[in-house]
Amino acid sequence: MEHSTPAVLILIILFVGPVLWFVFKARKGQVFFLRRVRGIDEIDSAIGRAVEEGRPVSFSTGVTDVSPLLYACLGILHYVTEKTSKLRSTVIVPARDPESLALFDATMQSAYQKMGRLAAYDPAQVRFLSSDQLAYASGYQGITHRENTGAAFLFGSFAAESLILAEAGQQVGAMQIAGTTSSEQIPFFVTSCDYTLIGEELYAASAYLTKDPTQLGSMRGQDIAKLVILVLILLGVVLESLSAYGVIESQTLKMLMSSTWDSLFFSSEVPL
Amino acid sequence: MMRILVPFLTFIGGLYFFLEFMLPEEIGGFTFGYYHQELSISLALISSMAVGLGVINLSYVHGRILIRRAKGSLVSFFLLGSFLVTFVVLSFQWYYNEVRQGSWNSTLALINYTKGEALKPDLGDPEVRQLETKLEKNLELLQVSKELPSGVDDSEYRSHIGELRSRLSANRLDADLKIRLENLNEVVNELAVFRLLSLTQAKKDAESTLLSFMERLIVHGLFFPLGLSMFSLLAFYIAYAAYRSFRVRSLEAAIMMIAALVVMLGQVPQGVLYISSDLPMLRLWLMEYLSTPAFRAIYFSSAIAGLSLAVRMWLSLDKNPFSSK
Repeated sequence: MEHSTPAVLILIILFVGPVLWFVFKARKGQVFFLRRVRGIDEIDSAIGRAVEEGRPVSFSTGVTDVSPLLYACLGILHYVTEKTSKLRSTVIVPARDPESLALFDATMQSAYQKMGRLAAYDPAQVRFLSSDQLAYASGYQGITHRENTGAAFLFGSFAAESLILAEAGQQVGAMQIAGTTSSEQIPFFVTSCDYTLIGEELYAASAYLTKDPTQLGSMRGQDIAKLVILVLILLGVVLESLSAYGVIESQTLKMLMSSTWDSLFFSSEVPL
Repeated sequence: MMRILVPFLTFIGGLYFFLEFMLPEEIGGFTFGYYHQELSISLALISSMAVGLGVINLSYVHGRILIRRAKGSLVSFFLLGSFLVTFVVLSFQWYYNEVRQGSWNSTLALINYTKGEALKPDLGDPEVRQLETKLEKNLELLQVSKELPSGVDDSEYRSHIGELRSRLSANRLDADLKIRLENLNEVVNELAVFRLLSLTQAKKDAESTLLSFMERLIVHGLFFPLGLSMFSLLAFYIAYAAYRSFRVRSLEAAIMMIAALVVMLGQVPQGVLYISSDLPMLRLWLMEYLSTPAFRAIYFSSAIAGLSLAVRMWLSLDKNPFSSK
């Protein structure tokens, strides 16, 4: 079983501390600025365009398992479902695994209920396809072509099937907005989709759309955490450079990062 | 009540995994994560309850289309039909394998256990007797078992098992522990070989049945080739998407095009042969010093965002996305 070292705990405090601090500050009323993200702004346009053409909207989370990333995608799904239910259109959500299916169903029901249109909710909007990656892509292609979707949202984690999904929407002329943390798939989405959210922008989408103080404060805290990483990288570069020139022992830093609880807190030989 | 209970249980669950990772393996003789593996397995059991949801959803969505004879009913018919056929064929194959091989599976477990135990240096007379007793009981079950691979001679099978049993019984009378262990190992090895031969015969018999033919047709004849066909579409889509999207209209696009050319030509032998032998080195430089840092930057930001969201979920700081308020 893997266990952490004290350095990991210190890093977690350094990363999570600012997030919690700014969440509490946001809850007390402080307003934080979020820069414009074009892809998120265009979500409303995409839905509006699909509704005008009388075509449904599709929302896919790819191969995302039940994880914080799926939770972030559910926030966007909730927003998209609110908009489409208000405009009396349909969202088709192909699901890859049964646990996600249950979460999608609950999220969409909640969105319909919030808009006062729970009676209009059709459980068949959420469709289980397959847990197999390529069977899922094949099913999504079939749905896109048969239903002639007008807007396609691809948010989550994707693997090789990303281009198949994006090209399916391209072939029917759907307006596509994608967002993924899978770096290798970003180029495919950039070429095939109208707008692409990269990495953290996907997590920021929910905060951007809902303007929830907790999420906005968290965004600010994440920026500070990234600043901490930058400082640590620069510190590492300086220390390694100094050790390369023989000014300091390189083992000192390595020992701090890899020591166990015993050696760091209970041994008198380890320098701090 | 739910507003307090759900966040409380979420916090306790998250706290356990956080402490299990953070704390050392042992603190003063106490192991915090002693039941960690069992707990992790139990979480998998909970998610296994969701297995039926997919089947129910498939049946509901496509059954409704079929009943109403809506658009796409032919597709739904073939989907439900192939699902049913696959389910029946694979279920029967599984049942056949489990029933026919069931007793041999327990024999294999016993063979492995005996071999493992016999290697222990401090093995005494009581332990050897225990191994002999277990093996004898298993041989007794195999001798009276009705599940024989077809084509294996019944009397030959039973007499071979009987011979192994009598050798084991004679072994018990031997006084020398070392000789008894050696004989025990011989019996176990012969049983392992016999099991392997019987299973090979059983497998040959199984492959000639209609069910196994259908299983091979469905899995190897349809499922795998269809998946590979979908995968092969990627090659065409990549070329099509690149042709559609990449236009050299600006300086950045031109730089990207040159970099793409260098990477592609550096990957193939023809680039080295006909253009320059430095191309692979250039390609490596581009990938290691330009591309990788960009990917890492994306990973950092995604990881921090994921960590922050996980902490918010753990502490229930977020507004519930399922909430209608």
